[in-house]
Amino acid sequence: MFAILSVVLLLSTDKMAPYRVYLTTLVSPLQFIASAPLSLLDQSSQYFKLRSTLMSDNAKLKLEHLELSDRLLKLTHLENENRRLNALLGSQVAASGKKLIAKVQMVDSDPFRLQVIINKGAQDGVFVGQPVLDENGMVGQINYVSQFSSTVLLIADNSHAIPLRNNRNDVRLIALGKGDLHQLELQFVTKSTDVKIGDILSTSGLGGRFPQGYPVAKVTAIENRGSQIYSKIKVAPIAQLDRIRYLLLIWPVIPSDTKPGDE
Amino acid sequence: MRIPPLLIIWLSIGCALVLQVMPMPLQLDVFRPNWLLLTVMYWCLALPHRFNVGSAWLCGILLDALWGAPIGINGVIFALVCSFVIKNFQRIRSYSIWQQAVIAGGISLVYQATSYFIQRALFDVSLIEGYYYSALTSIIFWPWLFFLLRKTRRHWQVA
Repeated sequence: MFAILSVVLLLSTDKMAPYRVYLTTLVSPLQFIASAPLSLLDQSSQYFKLRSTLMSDNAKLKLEHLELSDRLLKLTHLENENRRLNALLGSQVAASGKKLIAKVQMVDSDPFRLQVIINKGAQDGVFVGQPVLDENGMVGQINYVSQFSSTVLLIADNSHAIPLRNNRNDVRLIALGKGDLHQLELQFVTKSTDVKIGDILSTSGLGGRFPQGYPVAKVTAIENRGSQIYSKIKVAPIAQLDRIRYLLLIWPVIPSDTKPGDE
Repeated sequence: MRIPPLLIIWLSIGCALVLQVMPMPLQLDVFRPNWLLLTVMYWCLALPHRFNVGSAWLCGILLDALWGAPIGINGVIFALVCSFVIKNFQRIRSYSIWQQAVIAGGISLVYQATSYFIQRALFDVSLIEGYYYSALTSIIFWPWLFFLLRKTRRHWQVA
């Protein structure tokens, strides 16, 4: 009887999704307990840092800050310019939306899935399908949400695919996860497509799930077999998926239509 | 003070769930024994009238929720494994501790293989290296878990 019940549950995964929130919320205290020893260790190691380390860290960060603020100044200028040009063209304008920093909880998960659990959940407005970044690039998307935590499916998971665009020439591609944290694969790329080793691929924004323009992967190997139509292309994710600690959750902005005459 | 037996049982299940998701160094992660399965097996052996197939199914569902696996996968396997143990509990109980350990390892292996094949059939998953090692460590950890839980059971007079 329970076997039948399980099969029914498995087959109705999509319909049961709202109820799953309650179940995961119920077990999330266990996750907090399980991750407590390590986070305690982590905090104490933060606490007992040497003064010299802190000073050198501070100096380094100040330098980095200077560099970044210089680029940020340019960015605001470019953003404005871009908005004006987009308005001239009559195309959609995407502004930057809400952001939230989440911490990865050090807990184990399903051995068949590449996913991590983060400490932000439905009470922070996290939703299923939300894109997740780290400081280098795209990491994945939210898979399940509970009240206080949620699960991020990494782009390298077997079930994950992400629409990309080559930064060099705007060729559209799709990267599939292969269950390997260090490698994704591009599928159905004909041999004649212009892809070179070292190309940086960013999200294309097609499909509507991931916002446009975030770096995702770098082409590492291209293999052409004589008899096959498609070449086999391996790409490495830019975000270091095996050592993520802090993640950035972003809320996509509903693009506002700006007509040429508006501004 | 007398603590209700069901509370003890579910506290031990809770501990097993925590151990199941406890962070471990990557190299040791594949050697993690199936804590929850072993605990469930113990209660099925010791108190089959208190801990039935339904409880095992619930444990599986909790594990699914905790792991972020599709709900029901571990549930169905836990229910099946538990029904096997409950059907044979008198025979398994009479075995020596190491024979029991080997049986526990065998059940772990069956559990993992079934879990893999179900996921394989439903979704596209690939086998990770060393996936079956935890069945081995389950054999090694069974006697300890068995004596620990038996001591707990006798101390709190769970029956």
